[in-house]
Amino acid sequence: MPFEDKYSELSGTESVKSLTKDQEFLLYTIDYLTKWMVSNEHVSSNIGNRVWIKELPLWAIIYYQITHGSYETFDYAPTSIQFFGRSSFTINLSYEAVDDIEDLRESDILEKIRLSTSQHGFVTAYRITEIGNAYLKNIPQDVINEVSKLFFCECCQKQLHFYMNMGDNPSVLLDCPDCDVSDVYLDFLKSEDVSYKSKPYFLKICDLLKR
Amino acid sequence: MSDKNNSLAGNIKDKLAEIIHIKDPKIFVIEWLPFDSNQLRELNKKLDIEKGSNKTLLTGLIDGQPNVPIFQSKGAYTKVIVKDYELDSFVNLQAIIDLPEEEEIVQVEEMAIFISRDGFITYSLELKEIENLNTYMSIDKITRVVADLCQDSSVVIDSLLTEFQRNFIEIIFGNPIHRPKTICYVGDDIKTRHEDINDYYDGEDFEIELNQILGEGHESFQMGRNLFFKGSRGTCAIVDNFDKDTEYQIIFWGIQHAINNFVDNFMSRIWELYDQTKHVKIIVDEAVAGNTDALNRVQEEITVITSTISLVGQIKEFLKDSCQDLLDVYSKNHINTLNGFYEVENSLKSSQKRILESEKIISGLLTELDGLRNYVATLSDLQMRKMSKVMTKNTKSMNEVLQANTRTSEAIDMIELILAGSIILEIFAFAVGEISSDQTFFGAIISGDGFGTARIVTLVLFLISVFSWITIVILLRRSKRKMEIEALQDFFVTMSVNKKIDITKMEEYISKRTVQTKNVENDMENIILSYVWGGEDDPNLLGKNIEKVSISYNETNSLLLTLEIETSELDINQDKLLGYVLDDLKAKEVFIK
Repeated sequence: MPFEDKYSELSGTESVKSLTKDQEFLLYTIDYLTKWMVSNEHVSSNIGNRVWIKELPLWAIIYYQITHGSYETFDYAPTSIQFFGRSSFTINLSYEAVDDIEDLRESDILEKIRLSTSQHGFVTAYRITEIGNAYLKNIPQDVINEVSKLFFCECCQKQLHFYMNMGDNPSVLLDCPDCDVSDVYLDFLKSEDVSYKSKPYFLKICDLLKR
Repeated sequence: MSDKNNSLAGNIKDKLAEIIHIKDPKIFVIEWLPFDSNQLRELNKKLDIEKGSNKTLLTGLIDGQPNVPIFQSKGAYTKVIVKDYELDSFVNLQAIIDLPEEEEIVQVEEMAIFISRDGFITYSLELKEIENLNTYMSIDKITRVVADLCQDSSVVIDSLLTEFQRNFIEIIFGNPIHRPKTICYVGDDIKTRHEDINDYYDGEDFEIELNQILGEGHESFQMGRNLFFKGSRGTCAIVDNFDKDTEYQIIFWGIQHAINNFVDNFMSRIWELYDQTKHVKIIVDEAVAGNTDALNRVQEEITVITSTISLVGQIKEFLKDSCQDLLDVYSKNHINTLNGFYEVENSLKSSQKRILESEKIISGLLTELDGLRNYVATLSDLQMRKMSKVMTKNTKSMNEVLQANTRTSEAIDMIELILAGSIILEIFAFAVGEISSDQTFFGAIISGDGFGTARIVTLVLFLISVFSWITIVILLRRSKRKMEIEALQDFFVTMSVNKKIDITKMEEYISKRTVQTKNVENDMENIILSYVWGGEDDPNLLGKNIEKVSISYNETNSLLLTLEIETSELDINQDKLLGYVLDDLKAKEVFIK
């Protein structure tokens, strides 16, 4: 379908209603993050729509937003993933967000790309399509304000920097370039604990595997 | 998606939307690690099984102070009770885990661990309570228990593994604690029961929660009230009666999933090694272009990659044996696959095929690395030969400089004589004044004037001045020689001999010397042998002031190439020095006439 037709559909009131508040929040977050990461990484802003945001930093930021109560319906669960095709990490992943990203893809608002890593794993990245960019023009101001406020230093109002280290001591950090007040280590890579009691379950299959 | 309806639990920062609740959940964490009878025997020894003790505390700490009589633990250990074992076949343990947790967290973590010599390790437990819930427990909270379990199980088993196995784990997964494992969930019932299993695929809450434990894109199977789901991370079964047959189906499926998981990572490592080998070729090209740093680096890289590939090759053997053993057990026991939902046999055969195919890549890589190693060795030889040629050239230049210096030294000697004469005449002129006569001394004698006193004095003075001249010359020469000897520790005399020799006699001649260094240069066409021995150890050279003798000959052409003598005495004639050795060689009939 040509872009104009799709946009004309999206620009109607019904089309705006077709995205939930969480989906709008997520869409604007992806847009904001893409531009934010471009300035973070000192990439030229003239590269247009060639920038994709990788899913791991996106998930980290979504976790950060969930812990700040930004989404109405998202929660997260510890999930084991392999980073760069090698070490396995437990991350706090929001499956509701993953599902909404898929919904946005189905609506042609988001595009997904898969790229190989040097260690023979795969990385997924997303970018907003022209339809998505058209939709963004109708995003309510309160969503815009809500998203952006989490990325500014409470103390000096400067934009925070995002750091992600997946080496031996993995960490995700939002850091203020001017003061240490707003430095936030995200517990994205730390599984939350619950109290529990368990008892051993002895398998009957052992009898088969005995020699 | 649902509303937030539960209070905060544990240290969870968010309100959870808990949709699926499972009754009396059982969790099975399955992984495959390289094991065989020897590894298992080692593990069983670590558990002190043979001494009949059935309660052992295990820790990952290492005793690094063998001489200190006490050992201090840090409270991080696992109590292990052996339930059943066969020394080199299997061991069934009960583990009570006591690892430090946050203050408000209470975890009574007890699990069963089954380790078979085929490498299958199953950590299994039944959840009795999560955050005061003790019958139906939410998947949201169960996943948090599983995250804890996956990490703790790695810590527990790590203290039981050999260093050999830890190496394998590090090669395949990098981090030994964080590695992927297969999770199987079994519940007696589900709180919100749909009559049709497809109703759980609502694209919303139910499906999202199932994604959480199974991974996206999972499949399902229904048999009456029994519900089965499987995905990329594991399986979940809701069964009224978790009998032996259902356990066999689920655990065997989990085992094949775990082995497939391992093979996936194993293959990734092989492709990575393939990339590294490709990178080595680039460094070899740099070395060919004359980069000596690249030459040193490439040798090191080839060694590291070859050693890793050898280890990967060993892992392959473990995988191969394990797959075959499991296939034998599986087919012998005719396990039901639930209409192919828990299909195991074909999957194991497929893993087996992948493992066999990896053999070709591994052997190809090893051959390629062997070729690269030989190529690099040849490059290194060429480099050495080039250096050797440059050294020879430099030595020749040095000798030429030395000869020039000798000539200069002789000229200086002449000047020295003249200078000494001038000095002594100047001294006499200063002491006695200038003596002049109308006749020379000899003229006076011839003319018959005879010796006058003045003439006698003149004669005496003349004789004294000549004597003084000679004395000064001798003193000057001696002091100069002394300085030269101090400056030059040793003096080298080299001769290109190029004479045919009898190799056997030469070898016999050398065998009687105390050889200090031997060097062999083999360039495919010629073998050049060089020997160095001390003059003091050579009975024929004793007292000849020869420090060292160096000889080099071409074994292929039977040609004596060079002879070099090292001496600290500058006075001895060079030919004489060389002659001592050459005459000796002639006497021993080393030269062929």
